[in-house]
Amino acid sequence: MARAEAIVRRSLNPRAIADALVVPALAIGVGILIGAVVIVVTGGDPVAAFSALLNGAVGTQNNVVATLLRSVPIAIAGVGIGVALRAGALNLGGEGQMIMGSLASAAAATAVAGVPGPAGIVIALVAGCVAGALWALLPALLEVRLQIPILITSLLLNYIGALFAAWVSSYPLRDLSGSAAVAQTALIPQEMWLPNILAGTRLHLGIVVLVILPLAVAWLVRRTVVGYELRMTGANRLFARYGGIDVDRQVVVAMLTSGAICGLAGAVVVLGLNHRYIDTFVSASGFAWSGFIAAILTAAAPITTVFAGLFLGGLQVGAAGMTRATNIPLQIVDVVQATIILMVAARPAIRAWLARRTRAA
Amino acid sequence: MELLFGALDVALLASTIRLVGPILLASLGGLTTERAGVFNVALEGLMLVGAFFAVAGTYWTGNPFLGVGLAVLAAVAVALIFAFVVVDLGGDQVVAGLAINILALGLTTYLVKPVFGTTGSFYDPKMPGLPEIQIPIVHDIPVLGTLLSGYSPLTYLAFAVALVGHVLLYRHHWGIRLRAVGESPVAAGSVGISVRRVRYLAIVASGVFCGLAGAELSISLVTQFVQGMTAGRGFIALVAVMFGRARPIPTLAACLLFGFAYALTLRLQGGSVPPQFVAMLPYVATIAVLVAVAVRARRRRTALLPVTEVVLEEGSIATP
Repeated sequence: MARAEAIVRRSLNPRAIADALVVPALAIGVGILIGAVVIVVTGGDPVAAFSALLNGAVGTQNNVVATLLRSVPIAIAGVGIGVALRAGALNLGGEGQMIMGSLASAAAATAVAGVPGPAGIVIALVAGCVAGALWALLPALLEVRLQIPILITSLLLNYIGALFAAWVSSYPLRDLSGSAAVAQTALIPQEMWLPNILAGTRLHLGIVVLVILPLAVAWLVRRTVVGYELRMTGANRLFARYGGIDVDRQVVVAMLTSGAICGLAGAVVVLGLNHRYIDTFVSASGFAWSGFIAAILTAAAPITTVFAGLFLGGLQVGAAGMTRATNIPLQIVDVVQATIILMVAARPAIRAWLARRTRAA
Repeated sequence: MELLFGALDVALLASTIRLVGPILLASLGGLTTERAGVFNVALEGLMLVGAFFAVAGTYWTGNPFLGVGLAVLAAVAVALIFAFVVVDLGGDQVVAGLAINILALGLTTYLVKPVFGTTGSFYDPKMPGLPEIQIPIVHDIPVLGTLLSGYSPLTYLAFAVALVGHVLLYRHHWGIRLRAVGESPVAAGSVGISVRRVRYLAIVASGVFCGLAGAELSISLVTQFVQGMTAGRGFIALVAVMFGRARPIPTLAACLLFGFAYALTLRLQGGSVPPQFVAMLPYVATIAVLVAVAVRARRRRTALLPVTEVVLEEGSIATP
């Protein structure tokens, strides 16, 4: 526990926060500014839009719950993708891994329906993790064995996974009882649902993962030998290899872990939110890409990634409220998000510019 | 096997050529930046911007050729953002490229509503698509006519650019400068070539090609815009560039292979295989091709890509 406290204390150190937050804060500011410009150009009122957005995100208890519900899968996926980034593996397959995790947990939850409460839920969660990890294994093996970039294969596997899940939920596991327009699997038994933790809302126990997971990953990455080797592999593969680290094994382990966490995110969507696999829900919600943005924005630091995930979740839920209030399409948020990552991509130049400003002042 | 051979006929080959256009045009863009030392993950997004504005331009003016023009302008505008971040700010190429993709997906989905008043997709039966060009005499020759005639002007343009590009890249001083910048920016700079200018021009060229690719997709193959309609074609084009090691003719060959996968997908729809598995074909084929190329590259001990290496910029992500 003392270790966990040390990690929290270090990541809450004011100077460390200031240093780590300047670029993200600037990025978010410019992102919102660009979003406002787009709103003005397309004939909207940015002030009304953003106040509707803020209200939609955190204005009422229901809105706060909606923000939390949306942030859970984003933040989990973000932490997962961050693990791969730390090892220098560009896992763009978070979406496919989440989809496979969702599908597997839905199938497992139905299959083990007789198992009493917690054990059954754990089995379904593990099934999601395993499916996600397996979906990340192929890109990892192709990179270490054949030097095929993970970023390409993991991305292409998103489409294959989405189509596979579409088939499973349209034919073998299709729920024929309802008349839903979208293919979906049958509702899982109620004892397999993640317990509700706030009466009158849909807030579920999955939110606890947002506390435990980043601490666990932060501990793993910063305080264990595996984590050290992982960081070395990401920082400089040649140096890591020179130091005796089995770099290929690190990349595979990082991708397996990353895929497992993304699979967990998918399982939480099924067990906590929808209680069934709904086709195209994961990709349409853009959970994995938002997770990727959260990870990139925070340089893959697990604890801050969760906060970035909460921010992005709030932005998206708030945008839905803004759309209801002002009729501005909610995809304006994607424009804000893309601007944020462009700024982060330019981080070295921004750092240099800030340093010049500081010297000049 | 019978299924495969039964499907191999002139109509299928013609369908291959029809469907190769968007991938070929985008991969020509990827090839150009690759030769200048810029790994272009943004092809997907630039193409999507092109697809949207081709439909918008055609809808506004009623003229599909003006739609193509607008598609090119819009894709170039977005490519300039990419160029600014990558060339002037020294940003991470992969992260910046992914940002462009997310921007393109969000922006085009956003604009569907204010521009067309619908959500998600837009289709208007009155909207004209690009015409098919019937080559006068060739058109009447039985098999050859089907194979060579009746495609969109952009398809002919794509093949022409691939062939002319081969000559430009190896025989013209433009190509030599481009390759010099990609292979050794320092050496190129030392003999007076502006690395910045060449990289900007290469990225703008990829914007032009991706704009055309998007237009071919949205106002020629179909005449509608659907959100995210590029569906990974930009990445498949990137794989074609890797397959061809950024050489025009082998890249063209790879594109034809992927075009064939798309043609087969269309042919097999409605057969006994579930549609979802049929739709996987281009993606599975792309991964299979990558594996084949990588095995070959390993035997010859060459890198998968001739110029740039795909690594995260040191210190941007991985350092604590």
